Amino acid sequence: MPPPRPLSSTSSLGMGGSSGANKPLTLASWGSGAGGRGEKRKKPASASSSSSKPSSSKPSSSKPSSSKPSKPSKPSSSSSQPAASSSSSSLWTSSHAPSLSALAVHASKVKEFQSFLSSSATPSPSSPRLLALLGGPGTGKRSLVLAAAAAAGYTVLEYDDTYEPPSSFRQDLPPGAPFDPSQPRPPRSRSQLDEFADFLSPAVSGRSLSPSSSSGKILLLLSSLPYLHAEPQRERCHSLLASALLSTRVPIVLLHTDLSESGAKASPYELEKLMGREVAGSQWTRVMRLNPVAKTILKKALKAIALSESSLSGSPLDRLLDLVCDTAPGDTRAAINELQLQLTVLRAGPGRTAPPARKTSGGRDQALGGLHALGKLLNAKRGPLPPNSKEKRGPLEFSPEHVVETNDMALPSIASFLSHHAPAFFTDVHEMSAACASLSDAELFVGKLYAERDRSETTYPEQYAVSLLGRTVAASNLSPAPSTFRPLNKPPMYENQVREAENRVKIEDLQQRAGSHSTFGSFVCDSLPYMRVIAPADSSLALHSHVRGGGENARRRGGMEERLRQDPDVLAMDDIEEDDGDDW
Amino acid sequence: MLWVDQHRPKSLAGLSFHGPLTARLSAMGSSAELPHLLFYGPTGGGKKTRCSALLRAVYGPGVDKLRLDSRSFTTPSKRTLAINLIASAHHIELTPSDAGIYDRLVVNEVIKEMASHQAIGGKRGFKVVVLNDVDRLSKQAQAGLRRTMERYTSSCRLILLCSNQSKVIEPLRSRCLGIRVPAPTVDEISSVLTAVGEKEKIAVPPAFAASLARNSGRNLRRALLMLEAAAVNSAALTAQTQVVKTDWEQYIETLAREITQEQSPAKLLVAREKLYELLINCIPATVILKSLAFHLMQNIDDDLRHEIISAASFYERRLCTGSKEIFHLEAFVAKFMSEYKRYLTNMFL
Repeated sequence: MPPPRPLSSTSSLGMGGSSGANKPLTLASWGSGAGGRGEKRKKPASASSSSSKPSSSKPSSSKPSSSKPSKPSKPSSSSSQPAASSSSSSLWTSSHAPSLSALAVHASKVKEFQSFLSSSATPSPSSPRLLALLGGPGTGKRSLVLAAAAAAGYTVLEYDDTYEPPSSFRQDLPPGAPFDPSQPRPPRSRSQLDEFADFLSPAVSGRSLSPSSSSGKILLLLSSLPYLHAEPQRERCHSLLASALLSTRVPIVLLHTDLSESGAKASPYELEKLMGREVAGSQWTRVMRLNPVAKTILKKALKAIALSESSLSGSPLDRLLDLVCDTAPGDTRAAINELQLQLTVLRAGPGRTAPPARKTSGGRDQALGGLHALGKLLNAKRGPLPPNSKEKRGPLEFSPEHVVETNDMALPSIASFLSHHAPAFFTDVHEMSAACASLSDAELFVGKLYAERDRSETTYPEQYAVSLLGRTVAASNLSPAPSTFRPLNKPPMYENQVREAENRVKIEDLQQRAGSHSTFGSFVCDSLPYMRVIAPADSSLALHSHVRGGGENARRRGGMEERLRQDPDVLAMDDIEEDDGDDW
Repeated sequence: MLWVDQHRPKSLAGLSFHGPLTARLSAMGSSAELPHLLFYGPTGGGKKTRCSALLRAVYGPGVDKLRLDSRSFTTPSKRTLAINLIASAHHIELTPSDAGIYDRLVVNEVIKEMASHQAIGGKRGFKVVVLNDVDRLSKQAQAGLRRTMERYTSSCRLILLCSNQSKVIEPLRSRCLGIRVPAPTVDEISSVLTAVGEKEKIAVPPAFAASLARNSGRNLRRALLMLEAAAVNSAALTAQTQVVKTDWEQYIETLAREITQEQSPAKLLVAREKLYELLINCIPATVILKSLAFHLMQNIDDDLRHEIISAASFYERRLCTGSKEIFHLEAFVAKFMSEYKRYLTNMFL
């Protein structure tokens, strides 16, 4: 069993978490080319190094090593390079890893984390053992752990989903040979999950540290869990985690980037999905959440970096920082990347000293989460009516097209959700009828869009479908139902389709047994209902049924099937008898 | 086995109505050549029965040895789909519209395969492909069919069955000899019911037979099923015996009654549950819409009927072109509610 890779906290440069460190190849090469010229002005001593490559190493070896400093397999060549070159050719997100004092995380959160560390160190049965650290991308989860651990004298053992046991790819190399990424690695013969297990079990016991580490205090950092799709594997991963929690002697920190809308609390369900029910509900588990970084904090951190990297200062710098903060709200990593880009451009352009007045590069779309967007479309809130306007209603508070387009749900799902929930928002039948008609139009467009996407060369006008969908409720609902809490549950459309398909198989089977050669449609409509009367024993099928009360479907389905088995058309008969009682 | 299948006439001589048509078919069966045929007419009129009787006249009792086959096809997008076929040594029968959008592929493959093997051991030099529900075939499939049909005429004949001839493209109709099989009259159905009753040793009062024939909508298959169901339910049949309706029709009737009683968004949610229930039980959406529309027609005044039937035909088209049926069924229900409510309000103004 290979020992876990020890990662000394002092050698860690990782400001960017795994995602930042894994794929800077293109960006880093851009940085080395453009940034190199800028270095000349400031640090003449290191200017030559940006273009020079150590003759001893293969040309391609310096990039992966500098971009992934946490790998112990650092080739010997990079150590011979001057230190300044690594900072000029790498991303500032990794070269400016913060110390505890410079961390762009709110002080109360830092305290909270430190109290977890200290209380986990006290040997008491109730002391916490695992901390789930949640937060959006770039909120400083990993930096917080690394910085706080370093300050408290912990050695960090880190696992992420690119983890490989140190021996697995070096076994066929002679000792001391430089690691050459152009050589194909021997194929992995073990599953990621097995490697996770191999990492976890010695790590939690804290015994298999390499002798070089002097401090006895260890912190286990799970930057990510193995990436798993299938349910059995996920369950195994959860049980590994659960047994680690039971036996651990070291504190474990689990990082999780949640992509939900900012400000939303992680639901117990999400936590369960992440860690498993047992771990999520354990008395040893704590959950902590990092909010998006406040602008003042972010600006302060950026200023420190900018001052150390460039000669810019005063109000131009201030303007630049404002701009950068607005481009990447709440995301330290993106903000630092943006800052590096802006400053590099400034240095490269001769004579340009003032930062651009407006945002020049990407930034990101501000999209609403799926359900939030649906709520907007369904509620269709309107602003106050402008004075002396002839309109009956005020303007919409949002752009329906924009909400639909930037939503992360696919158009067919939006259509299904809208159609499922729309009637509850209406009070007037005529208006609802108009909405249903427009939903029917929209469905036609959406269906065409998806059915013909792969067959025809012409692109179907998606905009129509988007606009129709977005405006369905807003346009027709003149007298909306009073606003109240309405749970948005999943439309049963898909489940019902599945059930219909299952029923179809059963009916076809019966049709074959009955030796009927009529078409399926006429068998269902004519023969089957009468067969139930004529030969109930032969024709009883346990057909699925649509059960009332959306969310309960799954739970009650077993019971429904049982009922149907006793009497195949119990549901239909129930309804009919009930209604025959009416005075009509 | 159901009476419908058990007492189905096997030979042309056993057919009980449409005498002139039977005479033409038997002339065709004894001649050496057989053209491509297109049987059309309402359901339960005996198209399929006549088709198999004709095949028997052409090939002899060999066509009665049927086997059920499941053939799988691979689509261009590497999906496999399985289609059920019924085949004898001389013919093959399938419902290509089961393949949905891949119907063209299925039609072409099957005919090519049939035509590529010369008929052996028969007195005829051709085999027959029977295609059910041709009116439900896509336009592409129908166009493909017309080429395939011409290319393989020497070794393969087609018999197409459909209920609505106008949904079959013109070129296809021109290549086939059209044979109209009208719905049997009430009297014809009554006599068939009486004959079946005799074979099963059950006395069928003429009044009851006539009432079955009327209630079945002149659909012989349904009339026979109703007769058998009634015979199971009651010891002796009289003119007053209750006619058993299908459960889904009763269900739709209830639905129609409910939405004429109350029109509100909440009621639409109730109606939606019922529509889902029908769809889950594999009742085709077009059948639901049609049945619902005609049940609604009975509940409303003459002035409103035109509106409703035009809405029904509009959403019938939507069901064919759209992809999620529930949207369009719901839109029809909402449309009805709106129109009916408006009508009621105007009446009391």
